[in-house]
Amino acid sequence: MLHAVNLTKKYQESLALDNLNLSIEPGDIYCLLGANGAGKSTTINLFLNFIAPTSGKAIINQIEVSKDPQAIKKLIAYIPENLVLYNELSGLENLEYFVGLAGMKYHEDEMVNFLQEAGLQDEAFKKRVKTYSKGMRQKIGVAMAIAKKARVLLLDEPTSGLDPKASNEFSELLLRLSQQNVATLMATHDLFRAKETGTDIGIMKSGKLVEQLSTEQINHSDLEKLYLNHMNS
Amino acid sequence: MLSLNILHETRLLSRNYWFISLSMMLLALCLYAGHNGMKHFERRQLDLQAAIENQVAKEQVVQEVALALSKGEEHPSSFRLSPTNVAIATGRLATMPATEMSKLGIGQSDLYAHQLKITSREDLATMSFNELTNPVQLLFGNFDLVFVITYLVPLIIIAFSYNLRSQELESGRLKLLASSPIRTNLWLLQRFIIRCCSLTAILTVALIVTALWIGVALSSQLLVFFLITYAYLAFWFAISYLVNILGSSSARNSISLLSFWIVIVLILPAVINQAANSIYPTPSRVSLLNEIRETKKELSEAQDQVLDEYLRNHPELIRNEGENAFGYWQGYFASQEIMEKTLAPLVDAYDQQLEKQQKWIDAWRYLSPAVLFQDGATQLAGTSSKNYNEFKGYVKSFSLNWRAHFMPFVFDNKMLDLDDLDNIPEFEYRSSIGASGIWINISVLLILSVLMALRGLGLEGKRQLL
Repeated sequence: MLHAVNLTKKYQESLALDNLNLSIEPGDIYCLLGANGAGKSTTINLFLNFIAPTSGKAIINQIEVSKDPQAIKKLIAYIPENLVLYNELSGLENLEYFVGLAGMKYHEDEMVNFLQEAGLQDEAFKKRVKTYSKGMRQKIGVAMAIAKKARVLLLDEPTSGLDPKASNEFSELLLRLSQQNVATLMATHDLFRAKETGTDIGIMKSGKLVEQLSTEQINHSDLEKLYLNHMNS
Repeated sequence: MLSLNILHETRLLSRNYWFISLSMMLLALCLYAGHNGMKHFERRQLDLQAAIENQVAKEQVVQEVALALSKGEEHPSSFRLSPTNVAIATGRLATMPATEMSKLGIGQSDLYAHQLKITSREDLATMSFNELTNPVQLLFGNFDLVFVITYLVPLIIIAFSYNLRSQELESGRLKLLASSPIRTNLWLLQRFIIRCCSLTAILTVALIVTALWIGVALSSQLLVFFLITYAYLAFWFAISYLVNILGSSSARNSISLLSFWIVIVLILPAVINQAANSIYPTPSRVSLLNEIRETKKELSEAQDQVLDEYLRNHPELIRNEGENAFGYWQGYFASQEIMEKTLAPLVDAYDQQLEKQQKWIDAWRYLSPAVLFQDGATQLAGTSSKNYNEFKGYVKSFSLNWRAHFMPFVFDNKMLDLDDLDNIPEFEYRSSIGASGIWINISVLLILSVLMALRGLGLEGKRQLL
């Protein structure tokens, strides 16, 4: 579903991403761990075609991202660390707009269902987004992914700054989407959430993927030790 | 995507108090500017009315004398029927009536005379136009609707659109938008078009309300005025669109757009004018007036000699009633014509330089869309330099006819009768400056707007989002 083949990104002399190879299949939740500047966000930006690779390929659903970005963007949903919506519009109106940009049109009842599915409280639907908490805004992002019928989710530190309850709710939503065969690539600093939610984990350091493993292979404390070993080496 | 963006922008703008305040401010500005235009129009009409009444009264007296004499009655003011009295004292009034459209743009009407008494005493070189005015007003113009649209509306457009893309980029929302299967530059263009239409609608309402209030009727000229206004708005939105695409931050966009405003609205018009003055300098007006005075003095001192010379050139006017048949006035009329011929090269040189300056400005006006708009709008209002030059041409031509008409009467020493009075030339000014030249201005503004929009669209994918 989602493949990086020798994916490299250089900025003048600095190497932001070095020969990355990874594969994510439908239903997988691949968590990229690493310090700031490790190359996690660069990887996601390359899959979104926000930046062009220096070499290598980012492939989604057998289509090279840089060759046909419009086709790719019909398949993906993106939730950044801080989902900025139009504050003067309600959650429902924001959903309608962003889903509309993806070329989809739904009746209000259907959009209410998407918001409910994403876990947003009913009374918030028609309130202006400027009154929303961060967790509520992230749920709008999930509702967008559901409404878009996205096959791939690209998440850039989506739980950063969320309280544990909101973070847990977000993880549950990801798991539900995973059961619907959605492939997820999530950059995160949250080791606990990565172990709980992810199917696979990749540890990045200085633009390189230094470790790949299945979450079933490791427990929480070993994951933390492994991560710290890589960071300290 | 267009209908979605229309709904989206409508929602955003209707909830934006700043936009609502801006609309109210625009309406207030238009009403105030319209009020100024109306007051100027009224003053001009009052001046004209007073001059006409004064002229009618003078002509009435002459008519009354002629009527009395035609009935064989005596009249103490019979001298009024002498050709010199009618030609010099009574004269004719040359008027350039103000159109309703002039309420929209005062233009040159506060600089130039729009009524002139044509007499045989008139110096053609000096009959133009009083240049005394407030220098600050000269620099910025009057606060009329044309001023509001030329100078202030572009600033409102800049305030309204400078950060349409950069705000999305700076907030991080652009990444979310760009993750949708859209062409971001097309999406942005649609938002600009919708904003342009919104501001156009508000300005149209403000202009219609103002036009109704100040009594400008709906006419084809008013519609063309709206069209050139829309084209000017489109230009400013297009330039803002391009700056949004090329710029990376709101601060940089605002500075770039304000710099464009300064260059297009202030610097380029001044440079074009200054270049015209430098390349085609006009002789000093003071020197011209001094030269006229000197020549006049010399000719009046040698009036007898002048009359002899004049009669040598016009033998048809020689009468055989004796040497005393021609006196002061014949000499005066003859000296006027000779003076005109003597001064013609000087006056022509002055006029030709002015004409060359005007042609230069016409040719280079395409450099500044502000000049294109102002030129077109004041032409529609009938207060542009072109209108006044045309009026000046009419006045010059009529003035020559006027003296030529009275020459035979003066040399015949013949008093005028009722029939002669009926045959005195009438002044009539009909402007031939229509809207045809304005279509070029509108087309240029629209072409520039479309080119900038296409350039913006063409940059899709060539500039990385991050």
